[in-house]
Amino acid sequence: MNDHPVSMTVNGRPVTVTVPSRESLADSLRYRLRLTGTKVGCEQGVCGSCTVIVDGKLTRSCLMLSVQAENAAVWTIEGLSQDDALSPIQEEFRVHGALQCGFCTPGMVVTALVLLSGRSEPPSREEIREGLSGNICRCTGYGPIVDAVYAASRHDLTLPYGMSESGKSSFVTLDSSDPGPWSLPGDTPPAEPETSDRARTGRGRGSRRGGLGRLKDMFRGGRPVGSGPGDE
Amino acid sequence: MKPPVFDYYRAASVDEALDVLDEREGARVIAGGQSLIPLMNLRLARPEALVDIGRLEHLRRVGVVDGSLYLGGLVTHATLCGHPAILRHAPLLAEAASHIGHQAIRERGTIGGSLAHGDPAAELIACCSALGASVYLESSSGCREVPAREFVQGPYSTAASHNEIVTWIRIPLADDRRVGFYEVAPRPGDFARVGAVWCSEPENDKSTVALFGSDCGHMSIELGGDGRAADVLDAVRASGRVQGGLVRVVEAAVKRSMPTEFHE
Amino acid sequence: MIGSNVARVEDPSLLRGEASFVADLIDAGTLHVGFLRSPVAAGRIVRLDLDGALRSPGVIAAIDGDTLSRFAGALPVLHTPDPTFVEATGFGMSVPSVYGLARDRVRFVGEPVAAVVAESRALAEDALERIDLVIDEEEPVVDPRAALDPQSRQVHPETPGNKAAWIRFARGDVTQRGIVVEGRYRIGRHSGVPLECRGVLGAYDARDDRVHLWTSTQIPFLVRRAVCEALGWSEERLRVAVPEVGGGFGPKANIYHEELVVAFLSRRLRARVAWIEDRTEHLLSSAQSRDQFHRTRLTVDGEGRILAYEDEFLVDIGSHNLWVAGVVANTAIHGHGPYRIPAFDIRGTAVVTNKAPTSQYRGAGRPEACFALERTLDLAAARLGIDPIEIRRRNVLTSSDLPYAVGLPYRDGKPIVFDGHDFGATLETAVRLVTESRKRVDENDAGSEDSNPTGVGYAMFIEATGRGPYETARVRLGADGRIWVHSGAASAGQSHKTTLAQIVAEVLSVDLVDVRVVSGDTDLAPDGIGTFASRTAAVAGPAVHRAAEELAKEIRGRAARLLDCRPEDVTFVDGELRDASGDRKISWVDLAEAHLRGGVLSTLPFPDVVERFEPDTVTWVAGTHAAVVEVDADIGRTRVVDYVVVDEGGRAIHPRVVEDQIRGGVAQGIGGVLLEEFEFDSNGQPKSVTLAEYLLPTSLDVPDIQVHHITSPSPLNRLGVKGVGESGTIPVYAAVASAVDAAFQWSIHMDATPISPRSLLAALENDS
Repeated sequence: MNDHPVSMTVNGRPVTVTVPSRESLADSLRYRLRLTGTKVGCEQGVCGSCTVIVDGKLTRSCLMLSVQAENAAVWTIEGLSQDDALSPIQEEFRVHGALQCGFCTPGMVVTALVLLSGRSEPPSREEIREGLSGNICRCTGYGPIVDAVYAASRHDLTLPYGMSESGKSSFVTLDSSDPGPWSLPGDTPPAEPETSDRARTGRGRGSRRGGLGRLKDMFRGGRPVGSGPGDE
Repeated sequence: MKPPVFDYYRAASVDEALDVLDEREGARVIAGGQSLIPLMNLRLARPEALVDIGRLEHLRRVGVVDGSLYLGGLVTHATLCGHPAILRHAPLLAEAASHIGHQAIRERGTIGGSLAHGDPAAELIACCSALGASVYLESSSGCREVPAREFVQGPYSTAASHNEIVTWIRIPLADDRRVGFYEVAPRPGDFARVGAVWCSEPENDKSTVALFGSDCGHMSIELGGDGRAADVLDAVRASGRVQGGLVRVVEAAVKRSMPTEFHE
Repeated sequence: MIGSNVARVEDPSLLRGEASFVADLIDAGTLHVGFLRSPVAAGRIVRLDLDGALRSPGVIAAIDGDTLSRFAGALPVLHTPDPTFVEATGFGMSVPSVYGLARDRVRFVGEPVAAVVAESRALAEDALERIDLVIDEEEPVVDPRAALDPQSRQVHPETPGNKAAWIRFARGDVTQRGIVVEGRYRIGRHSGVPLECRGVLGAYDARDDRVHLWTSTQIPFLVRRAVCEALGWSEERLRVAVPEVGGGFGPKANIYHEELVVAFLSRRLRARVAWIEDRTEHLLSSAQSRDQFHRTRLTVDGEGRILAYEDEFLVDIGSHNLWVAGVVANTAIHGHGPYRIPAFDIRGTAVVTNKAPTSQYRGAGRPEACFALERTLDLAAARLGIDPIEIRRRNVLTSSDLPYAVGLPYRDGKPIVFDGHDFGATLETAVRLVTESRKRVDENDAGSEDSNPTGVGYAMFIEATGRGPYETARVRLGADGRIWVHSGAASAGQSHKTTLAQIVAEVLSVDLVDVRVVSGDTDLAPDGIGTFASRTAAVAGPAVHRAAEELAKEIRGRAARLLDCRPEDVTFVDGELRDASGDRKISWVDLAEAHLRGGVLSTLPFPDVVERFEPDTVTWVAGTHAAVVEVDADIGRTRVVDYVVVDEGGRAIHPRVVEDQIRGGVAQGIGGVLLEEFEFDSNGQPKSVTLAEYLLPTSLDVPDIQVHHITSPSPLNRLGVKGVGESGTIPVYAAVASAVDAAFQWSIHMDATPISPRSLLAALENDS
């Protein structure tokens, strides 16, 4: 059980790699797909140099197994600048001296991109410092990086290759609320909350049937969320 | 380091996951992996098999039913930070989750994973204790509900058996609830050294203060409706868990997390 | 070109993620090395059985210290000071032998004991677990003070009494009558910890029976020499080249076990073999630093003027330090500070212990010396009721004192002369800038409820930069019409591809993009030393300059033939070569092509010049840092909220690069004074083995840093350049500690780093 084919899209292109279950997404990107722009600095998720975008979300690729990336849309630093042109964020990094050795740079740029995308208002310098605080840089003292991201945020950001026509990112979604039919009162009635068959049927029954059983009953009654007392 | 060899199962349903857990004693559940994979990358955790429950989308749901807020075990910390239902009904969780690591960690780390891992520094465990939440554990024998306060039994040790999965967390709602949160960490996002969560429900005439942190571990203190910080600190000192200079830090955390209506 | 903030040549490929660091050079055909490392701090190897590893899936080979000893000797020491210096200071050292893999005994947790070669890193690690290693543990030597006790166990047979080096830097009579203050200080153990860990890749060249070694190093030429010496290879057999390096800071200016072993394995197996360090290995076994104790005694008169300064210091160098002479000498020499000190006596000892080996880290002894002196000065100020700024003002060297002869030689044997202009001006400017900055903050924050104590601290520093003995530069015309530059320098982020190109571009009047700097390759330059000790701009720079000028002479001769004029009439203008009238001109591409394909010059080799620059001695930088801290006294957390640097340094090739180097240095200093520490328990077991325990400063820990650079051109090279790599770090420890004291109105005296919440709370407790 140790050679898993994993199909995903990477920088907009479909790929399939066959990997042992223990191989990290970082290692697969770097060694199988030769996308060595993503770096590995700690394998603990602390330094941020392995940061990529998976299904629109910032991800520490050293803490994700490749097998977990089945059907995922992955974007790395290589996907951010197409042909010879640098994206606006990369250009601002250059202008502001936001890199010296360059090892943290791919992770910083990817993090900055997600930090800036989809916001209604540009962030303050403090917000930028906070947004970047999960990415270690050992060379610059961070000042120039904050300057670069601040300058980038004032642009009308042309988001890189892969954007859908509507202008909404086809790969970066910052809506951190999980979609779900239970989200709010007034939404369409939800599907039933699933419990395992065994829990439902009580096969090899344990201590109590518990609240989930009750939940199921309520939904069988077709009661939509928000129809209880106290909800508007 | 690279992890040792293990088998990998991607569960398409909770039943499938439970099957594997029943069959293989050396199997562990993986969801976001943000706690487990770092340990495996040090070869400190060496499961023979991983059961990935990350595709069980129904466990990502959030909803209010019958006076309780239900969170699926796979609800991520990022969701806790921004989901409207959380912000409305349990803003304490949003505040606590914002202290966990950084954005990338929060996008994959889950509340179920946090509970199941049982880290002494886990903010969400303390929040669940303070809120009087309960944890649903499913196994092939059925489903049982364990009060959050009893769920974590020691560092990295919980009431869950090897073949149980945390599927839901239930938080009873209360209109008059007053909450507060404060944590002391070396840098923002680091594991908390000391932290405190206050939750008071005047209508029920009770308050709970839950401590957490790598320096003091999980500890729940029940007070009456007009509980005072001094009572909390007495209880902490009496427990013998906190000594020396740390007492001052615990004191600061307790006072700074106290909702404003309270007295020292 | 020189002196302008051009866009960095390095940036586009780094920004795209296309530039290759050593781990990026690994391909499908590369074999992976894993190292078995000692789990204990001291002991005798009783059994080491590789059999289980050899049978492990995917394993090609395994080797231990005994077998390696048939092929390899010890690593050589990297620095021995000049005899004049030795005589003047009584410097001495005992050097233990360091082997690629432990022989018979282990001396620190993490020491490589065996190596396995496998198809992947993961398979190599699986195999390592199957090695049967039994060590008879011995009591480790962990406390450096206890290590000096005659009853203490000896870490190495070759270092009697555990003393690895000793020095005495003294002049004048320190027994002056005056007011005496004494202090005891400690700088904790920490290090550069670059974001990119180390890595070594050996590619075997079957045709020539050579190994091409890619290694993440700052000193490729020294690596070549050391590895060849240890393996008994001619230096022709080994090519050492440096890929992109993700930060060096000193720990990568060292020779390591793994470089020796990988080079050996590559040739032995006739294969492409790589070892990429992981973060745990780095925190266990990459060179650590600092770890000093100081006992100071300062005698001042009633006005606070220094009459005498004494310092007795101890450096814990762990199990070995190939640069021990440098650390000890630097600490002693920089104990002098940028002041008038009529009499001084600085005595130091380096001790070996069963901890990780050490090397030089940004400052390399200067920060420790600065901390001890500056903290003691603050003590004297407090004792006399004088402002810390004032006491410095009364002692600092100003334009009427400089240049200032200290009266003793530097470790290159030359007399120390501070070749500056006015160090006092940096103090006045720093005070002004930080006061203005604080005023702006107060105005903006009017009405804020922040009640945390804040304080401003000052520290001054002096730094020897541009150490010799020399640096080499080769500059040549390439077949593409570009100018290619190869030097002994090796960049780890210091922008050499840009700054060295600026020099050449100015001499030859070409565009920056037409100058390609490829340094750090022993096949491309005939000789070199490396990048460390703030020496590249000041030593490699003039070497490149000289080589470019010599190349210009050769180019004139060649171009004259194409332009049909005399060589002396050839001019370099706007990327072209022209005759005196300007009527006839050719491009550099034209000139190159004339050397190819039967062209007019094709019986001549391409113009290619090698020059060497030997600086007379070091050139001195000095300055003042001002740190503003805010302390949350209840939880003991210190934040640096503002920071000002005023330095008097040399002419800047690229002013922004100079500022950026200083800012980066300050950030590392903040890490060292507040966050970073390698802790060991009483069994020599390291406690900081992940980045969750060894805390690096983040964007929330480092404030915006103001840098004000005052130019005082160096008299020691024609460019007027001085080094800048380390100065940002040197006084940070003292400035921040001083600020913390100031926040509590000098009722406390922070005497140890890191200033952790625990130590600060303890100090506040003691005070109350």
